[in-house]
Amino acid sequence: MKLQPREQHCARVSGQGGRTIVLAHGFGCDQTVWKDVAPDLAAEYTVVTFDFAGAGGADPGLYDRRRHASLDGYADDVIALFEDMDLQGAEFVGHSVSAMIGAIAALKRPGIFSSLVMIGPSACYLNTSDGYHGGFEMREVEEFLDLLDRNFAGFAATFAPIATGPANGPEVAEEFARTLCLNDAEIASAFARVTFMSDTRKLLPALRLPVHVLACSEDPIAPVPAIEFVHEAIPHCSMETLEATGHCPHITHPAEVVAALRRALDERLGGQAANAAGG
Amino acid sequence: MGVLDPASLTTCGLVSVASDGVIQEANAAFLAWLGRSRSEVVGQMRLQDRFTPGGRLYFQTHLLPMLRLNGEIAASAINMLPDAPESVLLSARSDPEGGGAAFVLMPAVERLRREARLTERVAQSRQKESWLAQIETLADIGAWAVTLPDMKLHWSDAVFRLHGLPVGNEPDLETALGYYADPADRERAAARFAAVVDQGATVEVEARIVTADGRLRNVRSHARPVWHQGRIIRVDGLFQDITPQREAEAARDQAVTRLSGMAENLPGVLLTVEKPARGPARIAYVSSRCREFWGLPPEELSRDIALLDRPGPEGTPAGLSATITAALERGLPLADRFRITDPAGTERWLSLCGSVTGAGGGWVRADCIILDITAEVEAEAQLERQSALIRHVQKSESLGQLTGGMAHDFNNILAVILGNLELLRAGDGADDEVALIDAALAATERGAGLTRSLLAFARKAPLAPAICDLNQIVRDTRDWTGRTLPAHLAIETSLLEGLWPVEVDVDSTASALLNLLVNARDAMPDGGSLTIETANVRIDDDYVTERFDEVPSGRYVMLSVSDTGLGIAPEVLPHIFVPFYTTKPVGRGSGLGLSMVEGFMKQSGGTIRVYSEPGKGTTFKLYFPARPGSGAVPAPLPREAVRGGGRRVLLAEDESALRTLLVRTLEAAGYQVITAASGDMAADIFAEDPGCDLLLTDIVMPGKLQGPGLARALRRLRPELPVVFMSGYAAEAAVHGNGLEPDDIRLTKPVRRGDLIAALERALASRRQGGR
Repeated sequence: MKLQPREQHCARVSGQGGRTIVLAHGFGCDQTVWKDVAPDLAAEYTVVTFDFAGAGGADPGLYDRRRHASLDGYADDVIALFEDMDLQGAEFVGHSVSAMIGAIAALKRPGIFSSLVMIGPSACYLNTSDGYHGGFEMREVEEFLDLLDRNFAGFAATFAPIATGPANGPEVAEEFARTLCLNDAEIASAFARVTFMSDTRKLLPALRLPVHVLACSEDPIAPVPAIEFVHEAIPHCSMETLEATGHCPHITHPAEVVAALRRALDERLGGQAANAAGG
Repeated sequence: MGVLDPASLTTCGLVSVASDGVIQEANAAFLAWLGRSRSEVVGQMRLQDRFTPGGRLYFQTHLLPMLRLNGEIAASAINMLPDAPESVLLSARSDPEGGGAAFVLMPAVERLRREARLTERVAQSRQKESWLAQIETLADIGAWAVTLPDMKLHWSDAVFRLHGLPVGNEPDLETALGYYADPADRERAAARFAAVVDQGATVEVEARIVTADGRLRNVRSHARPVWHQGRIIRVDGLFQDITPQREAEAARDQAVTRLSGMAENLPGVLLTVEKPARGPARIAYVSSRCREFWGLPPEELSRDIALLDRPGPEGTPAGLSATITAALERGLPLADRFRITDPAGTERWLSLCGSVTGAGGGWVRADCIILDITAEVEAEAQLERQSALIRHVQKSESLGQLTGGMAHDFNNILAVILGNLELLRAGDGADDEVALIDAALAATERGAGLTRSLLAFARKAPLAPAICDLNQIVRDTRDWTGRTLPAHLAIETSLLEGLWPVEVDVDSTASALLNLLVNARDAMPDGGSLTIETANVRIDDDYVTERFDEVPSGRYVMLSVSDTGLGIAPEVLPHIFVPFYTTKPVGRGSGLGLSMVEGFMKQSGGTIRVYSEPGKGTTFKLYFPARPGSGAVPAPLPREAVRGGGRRVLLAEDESALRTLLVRTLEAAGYQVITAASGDMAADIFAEDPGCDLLLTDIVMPGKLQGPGLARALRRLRPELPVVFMSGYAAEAAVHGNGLEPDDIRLTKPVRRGDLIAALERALASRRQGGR
C-alpha cells in the first residue's frame, strides 16, 4: 500500500494553537533537532515537524535519486506534504538549506506559506568569482564530502560496532547509525552535494511573502556576507541576529530561538501577513 | 615513585571545552601537536577552529548536533589543521550540567588510510557483485560450485531460478543431475563431473532439463577444477539457459531451408542486387538455377553484374544489368522482358519482375524474380500471326464481296456493249468504221478479262476442277507464253517426274502461273534467269524454317517460279497480296494479279509463299493439295532416326528466329552447333576454331560474305569442308557462277527437318569418301 506524504515524512503534530508552524530540519539532521524547541512552541501554536527524504525515519521509497538531485525535488515534497495535511497558509520555519527549500516551494506555489522564517540561511555556500562570499571553497566542500563518505560508508559501516564496543550489542550500533540522522551513505552524500552546490541567489528577489531571517552571531556555515545577501535580496525581509553562536542555535540555544520565533511570528510576520491578506 | 597521570602520558589528544566551544583544558599531547603553551591555548581558542574547513563543516552539520542530541560522539574521523596529526578519530561526551564536553582525539592516519583502502576494495567487490548480478539476470547465466570432498552443491540465485526453484536450499548433486531430461544426459554429465574431480579436466555439457515447474529448457553447464595446495578443493561451474539461442537457431535454420528450397524449386531465378549511394551495383544473391540461363554457378555470376547480359540473339547485350541499375538509381519497380541466348545457344525470353527498397546507409536493393517465358512469348507470337491471318481473310472477304458484286454488274454491261458492237460489225459499215468497232471490241474483251480476274479474286469465278498433271500445265503455259517473254530471259524448268496429280481448274492455274511469269519478267528489265520448278512436298509441323498455319497437314504439289530480278523490299513484302496494291507504274499493273493468285490458291485449298532477297531475286511457291489416294506417301522421318553423333555444325544464318529453330532441330538430332549471325562472323569463328565438321549457311546474308563467298573462304583453309546451302529463292541461276562445287547440297526453303538432317548426313558422308 502506498503511503501518504504525511506518513512518508513521519510528520508529527503537537499543540493546539490557532496558527500552525511547520519546522523543517536542515541538512545532516532530522526532525529530532527540534526536540528542545517544538514543545515550547506547542504551548502557543500547532507545531508540525517532519523528516525530509533520506533523513531520519522517512520512507526509503520516497527518495528518488533523479528527483532529489536538486532542491526542487525537496520543495515538491514540501508542497505535497502541505496538500496532504491541508497546511496551506501555515508559517514555515526552515533551518539552513531548508530555508531555501521553503523559498523555492513558496515560488512554486504562491500562498502556500503565510510567512517564512529562515534560520542561518545561505543562498550559495561557495565563494564565487563575482565577489560573493559564501564562505567555502570548492576543495573544502570536496574534503567535507570525503569525510562524510569516510564516516558513513567506511567507518560507520565497518567500525561502528567496534567503536561502540561489543558490550553494547548490535542494537546500540544500529542506534548509533540512526543518530547520524542520515542512515544511508549514498543519500547523505547526495544531499550534501545538492546542498552545497545549490545557488538560489537569483530566485530570492521574486519572493512575495514576508520573510524573517534569524542569524547567529557567529555562524561557521552561513557567514555574515551570505546572510546579508539573503536579507537584501528578498523584498519583504526583516532580520534579527541572535546572541547564539554556531550554525544550529535551535540545538545549542533553544530558548533564545523560541523567543525569537515568537517575536517574529507575533510582532513582525503576523502584522505583515495580515496586511498582505488584507491587501 | 609517584602515580602516573594517564592524561599526560597518552599519545591521544585530550581536550575539554565549555558550552561555547572554547578550550578549557588540554593535555600535553594536544599542546605538543599545536606547539603552543597551555596559556596560549586554554581559554584562548575553540577546538573546532583546529579542524580543516571541511572538517569544521562536518563538525557543525553532523558532530555537534549529534553531541547535543545524544550526548556523545563515537570515533568519528575528522581532519585537523596541519600542526596536528592530519587525521584523527574523534570521540566526545558532553557534560549535561554545564553544556561543555570532553574530547579524545586519537591519531589515526594509518588506520584511516587502511580503512580507505578497505573501503575501496569493498566498493570494487560490490561493483563486481553488481556486475555478476546483472549478468545472471540479463544473460540467464548462473554459477554453481561443488566443494570437495563433502560434495556439497552451491547454487547462485540464477541457478535456482533456471531450475524453477525458490532460492534457498540447494539439492544434493544427484538430485541436481536428475533435472536432466534424458537419463543418458544424466550419465554423461555425471561422467564429465567425475572427470573434473578425478583428472582436473575442464568440461562442458549441453542438454535439456525439465524444470521444477515442468518447462523443458536447453542448458549449457561448464565446470572447472579449483586447486589449492596441490589438490582439487572445489569444482566451479556456470549454468546457462541457451533455449532462446537454440530456438532462434532452429527458426533461422527452418527459414533458411524453406527459402533455399523455394529458390531451388522455383521455375526461375531469384536475384538480389545491391547498390551503395556512390558505386556500382553488385549481385548480392542469385539462386542456383541461374546455371540454366547463364551457364554459371551463383558464385561465378555474382562476380560481375554485366555477366547477366549474355548476348541477346543479335549479339547485342540483353540489357538486364542496365535496366536493374537504372531501376536502383530511380527507385522504380522492375517489370520487363529480355532475350538472351542460353549456354546451349537457345534463345530464351526472360521476364524480370522486382521491387527496389532502401537498405539503409544510402544502399538500395532490388529483389527480383526472373522467369523463362519463352513458351508464352512464342504462343503470343503465334496468336498474333493467326490474328493477322484472320484479319487478312476478313478483309479479303469483304473486298471480295464488293468486287464480286461489282464485277457481275460490270460483266452484264460489257455483255450489252459487246453484243451491240458485234451487231454493228455485222452490218455494212465502212472499213474505217469497222476498224473503230474492232478497237472498241478489243477494249471490251480486255474489260471482260478484267472482270474475270475480279471474279477470280472474289472467288466467285466458276472453277471447274479436274484431275490433272501440273507439269503438263507448266509445259503448255510455257509454250504459249514463250512469245510474250523477251529473249534475254533464260527460262529453265525443273519438273519432277512422278509428280502427284492435283485436282484444279486448269485455266485458272494457267492464269496464276502466267501472272507469276509476268511479274518475274517485270522484275528483270535487264534480263536474267527464270526458273519454273515442280515438286512433291509434305506439309506438316516438321518444317524447320517456317510454319504453315493456314492449311492442314498433308501432301501437296509445289509449283515455284524464281527470278533473278530486283527482289521485293522487306517493307513491301507484307502488302503484295493486298488487292490494288502495286509497285508498277500507272497503267502497267492492276494491283490485282497477286491477290487474284492468292484468292485462287485459297479457293483451291492450297496456299502461296514468297521468298525474296532484294537485289537477288524472288521465288513464289504455290502449294496445291495432292489428290487423295494418289501416289506413294513418303513416310516422315522418325524424330530420333538420325544421330548427329556430336559432330559440329557451323551455322551461318542471319534471321534470328530461324537460327534458333535450326539450333534446336540440329541439337535434338545430336549435332553440336556453333552459330553465327552473318557470313563475316562465321568466318571469324572458323578462323579461331576450325574444328567444325560442316558448314550450314544461308546463301544471302548481310555483310561482306554471302553464303557462297563464305564457303570459298572456309575452303581455302579446309578444302574438304562439306557445305550445305539454304535459300528460299535459290533458283539454279542464282548460284551459277558463284564457284560452288557440283557436290554442294542446296536446300530450298521451306526446309523439312528430315531433308535437313538427310542433307547434312549426305554432305558428311561425301566428305568421308573424299577423305579417303
